Amino acid sequence: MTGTVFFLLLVGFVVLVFLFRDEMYEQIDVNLSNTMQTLCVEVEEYIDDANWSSICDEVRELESAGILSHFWEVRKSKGHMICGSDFEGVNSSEFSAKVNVDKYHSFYLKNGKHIRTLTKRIPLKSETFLITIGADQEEFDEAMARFLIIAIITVILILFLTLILISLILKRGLRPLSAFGNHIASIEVESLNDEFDMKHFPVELHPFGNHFNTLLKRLAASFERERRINADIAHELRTPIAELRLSAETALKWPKSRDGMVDRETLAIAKQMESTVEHMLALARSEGGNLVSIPEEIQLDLLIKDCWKPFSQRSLQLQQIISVESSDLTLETDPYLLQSILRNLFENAVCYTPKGGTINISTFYNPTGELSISVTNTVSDLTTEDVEHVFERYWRKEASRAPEGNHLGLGLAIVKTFSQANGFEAKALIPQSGWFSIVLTAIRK
Amino acid sequence: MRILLIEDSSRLRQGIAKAFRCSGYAVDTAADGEEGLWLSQSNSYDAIILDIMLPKLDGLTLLKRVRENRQQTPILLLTAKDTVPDRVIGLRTGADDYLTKPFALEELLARMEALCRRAYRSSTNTVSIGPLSIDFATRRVQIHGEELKLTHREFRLIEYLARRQGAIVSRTDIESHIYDEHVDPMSNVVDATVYILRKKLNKANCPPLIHTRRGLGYIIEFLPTH
Repeated sequence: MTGTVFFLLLVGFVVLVFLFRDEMYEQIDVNLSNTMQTLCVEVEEYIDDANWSSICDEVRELESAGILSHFWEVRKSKGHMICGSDFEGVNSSEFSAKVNVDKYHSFYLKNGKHIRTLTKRIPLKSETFLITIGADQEEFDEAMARFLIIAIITVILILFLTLILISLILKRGLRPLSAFGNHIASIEVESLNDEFDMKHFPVELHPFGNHFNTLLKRLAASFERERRINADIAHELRTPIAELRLSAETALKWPKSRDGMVDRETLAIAKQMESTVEHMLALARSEGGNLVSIPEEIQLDLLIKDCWKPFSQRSLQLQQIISVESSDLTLETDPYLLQSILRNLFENAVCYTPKGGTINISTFYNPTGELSISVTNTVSDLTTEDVEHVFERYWRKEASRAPEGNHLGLGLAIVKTFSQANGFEAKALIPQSGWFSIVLTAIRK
Repeated sequence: MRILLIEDSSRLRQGIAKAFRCSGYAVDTAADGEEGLWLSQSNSYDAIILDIMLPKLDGLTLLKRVRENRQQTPILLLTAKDTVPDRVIGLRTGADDYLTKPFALEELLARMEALCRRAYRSSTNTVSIGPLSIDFATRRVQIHGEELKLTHREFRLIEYLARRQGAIVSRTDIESHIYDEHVDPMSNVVDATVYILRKKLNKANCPPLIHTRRGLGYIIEFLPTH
């Protein structure tokens, strides 16, 4: 930036100097030209007669009258000087050697004088004569020198002021950015909710700041979700760990009270913890976008029956009434994801349907022609308000535990995310009082 | 000592109840808040172990209601909620102690002992009545320095009487404090146990300590003239 400014100033300075010099020269040249014209007019009548004596006298008269205040010379074109002014010790041959005919010409003489000349050619009957007038450029040189000094000083001052001004403007202009940067540097995990107060920043930074605030909100939500997940995991694993510990400590303290049930219970607890961790990992993977759906053609009714098998015994024990209506349909979907979805739905249905209740599993085409899979069961206490929460992780109607075993409230959260990854939309509804339904609808691409 | 355990996890409920019964306590259990509240109001307990996350009625609400009924029964909150705010809320709602899961069984037993001691305004675990010395922590009974072997039920009875030495305790009180819901309250198990206990004390050359107050109940005290 400074270099550019300096370069521009230098170029400007040089241009100015040349312009000034040319202007000065123009004034001298006009003066020389006018003087030459006057001279030519005065000697015109003598030229035709080649009356050189009269010409010289006329020119000397003009010089004496102060009209011609320049150096002058009349000479033959072939070098012979007829008459001229006193050049103050200047050798006339040196003077004449340096002049240019019909042109303005500046040069230095041996005595150091700076002269600008104009030479006019006067053609006569048999030969050509040259009249040369010259102006002393001493004043011109002095004026140029003064101009140069002033210009240089001005340029230096301008450069100096520019540097200071640029520095001040930049500092002032960058202050909001610096404040912005300081605020960003001070952000920590605990202060993600501290948004930028855009009132303190210039309007130009508002879009930037607003986007940043949005990003901070998303980051805060993400951290909060992670904190909650970690807290939930810790919370959910505490009880099975407490059960294991209690079982082991009781067996150690009262060895005689130990029986086969203890080992069976220990195994059951371990399996429950394993299931807990697997559910949590599955959900974390699905929410992290790491699920990849690899579709292949499957027989939907066979898959449904296959997934229902592990639950049929338990359902029978609970005297639940089961109905499976699934047509012979071929579907292109990821079978592993769909299996996981269906197992979670069936687990949920069997667990939360009251003893003697009903579970209906069916496949159908909805009015818009999309394939749907529905799992509907009777419930004892679910309301329309509850339906809004069923897909939330760890949500359970009773904040403690489900009647059968320990349910984390992750099954339907997994159903939701797995469905999204597998091209289904999962919806929960209360079709009528006392019933709860989850419907998966294949999304058309 | 009779305690009430209110915990919805069946494994924990059964495991804790078993541990306390092995330690000589009579234990009643409840799997949800409503049942727990009903039991706490229906029976007299020396202490209550209460989970917070309960179905039907959560633990803190139950605790509040117990205190609103002016029941001073010592209550220990046993829960997975372990943050400082959770503890503060629990203690300020009226709990006497707070233990988070997972817990050490010995610590739970020790904290319950401490709660029961406080209930009886006792700062030690030993009581002496004449030549009889009872250590509640180790569940040892000595007469003239010689150990006396007692069954769980006998120990509970003598413990209950000894903690109230010099005070008459009715048969009903004894039944409700040392026998859990598995014993038929209409049986004469108290009288039978008192009889056996007196016999054992006499055999050990202990002067009579358990006295009958007709129509009122029993009292344990050492009368030096005997």
